[in-house]
Amino acid sequence: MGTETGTETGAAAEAGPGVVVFAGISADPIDTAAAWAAVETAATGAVVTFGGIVRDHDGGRGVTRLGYSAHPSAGRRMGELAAEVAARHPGTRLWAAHRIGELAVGDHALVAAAASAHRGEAFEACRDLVEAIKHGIPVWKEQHFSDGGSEWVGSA
Amino acid sequence: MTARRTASVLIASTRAATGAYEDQSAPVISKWLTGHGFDTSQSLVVPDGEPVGAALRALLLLDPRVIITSGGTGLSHDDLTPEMTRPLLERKLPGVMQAIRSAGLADTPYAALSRGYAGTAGRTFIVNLPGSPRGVADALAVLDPIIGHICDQLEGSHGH
Repeated sequence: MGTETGTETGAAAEAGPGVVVFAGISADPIDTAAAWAAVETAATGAVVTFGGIVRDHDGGRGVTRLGYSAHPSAGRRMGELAAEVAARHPGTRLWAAHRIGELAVGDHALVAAAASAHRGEAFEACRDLVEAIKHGIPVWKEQHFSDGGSEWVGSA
Repeated sequence: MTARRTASVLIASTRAATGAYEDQSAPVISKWLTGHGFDTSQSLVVPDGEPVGAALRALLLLDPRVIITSGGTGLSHDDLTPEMTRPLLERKLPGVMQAIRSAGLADTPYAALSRGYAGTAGRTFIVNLPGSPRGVADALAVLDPIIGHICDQLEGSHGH
């Protein structure tokens, strides 16, 4: 971000179209560095990334692992939501992947990245992207608790 | 006072989306639309294939008067812009594509290979242009005298 404040020549890029670099479901571990690299270009002044991570507790119970399942339409819906976010944030470059399958504590369940010429738009677009995905895609998780029980809940 | 008509430019290009190359067509189309009085702030670049369908459906929710796509109309395996567009069209305008291909053929025989559609979805006119800047320029010249009338008809305001 060091060059951000000194880069005022990116006006043309700012006014350009929003870009969906990638939006989809991943059965494999998500590479956060790849997300960053995918959104950054020479016109980028700020990159904001988000990681939704499997934590070891929920509602006072210990969590050992999660299983994520997605409806077949989830990838397509994620593309639609990312396109809506890109349309709301001209000049940003967006990347988002939601993991499915068996995840352990500490694994990344959702990774999102937004790049823009300036930090304000990158922060806003990344948050908009994450909230849209969390509330809008047909993904569910089965939480396995340390006391041996389990429950199904929406991905959010 | 009438609100400014909105239009979206949708660039289908995996290389442009990944930043491997700078798309040349979007600025040309945006400038043309602006010249015809459209607000083009809601424009997108997405990778070829399924993301094009997702982006079209997302843009239609915004009810723009026009969506112009560029790219993905050829025969490469991920050139799927026509396949993504066709299910969304309620009424097709084959004559528009015929005119665009005819204009393109004056420049290059490859114009015959563009598989794009034109048509309407609700009050939105959608047209698939090729990805090449030259193909875009030829198509815009065809649309130039008819875009206003298309929008008038979609809005139900026949000025005669």
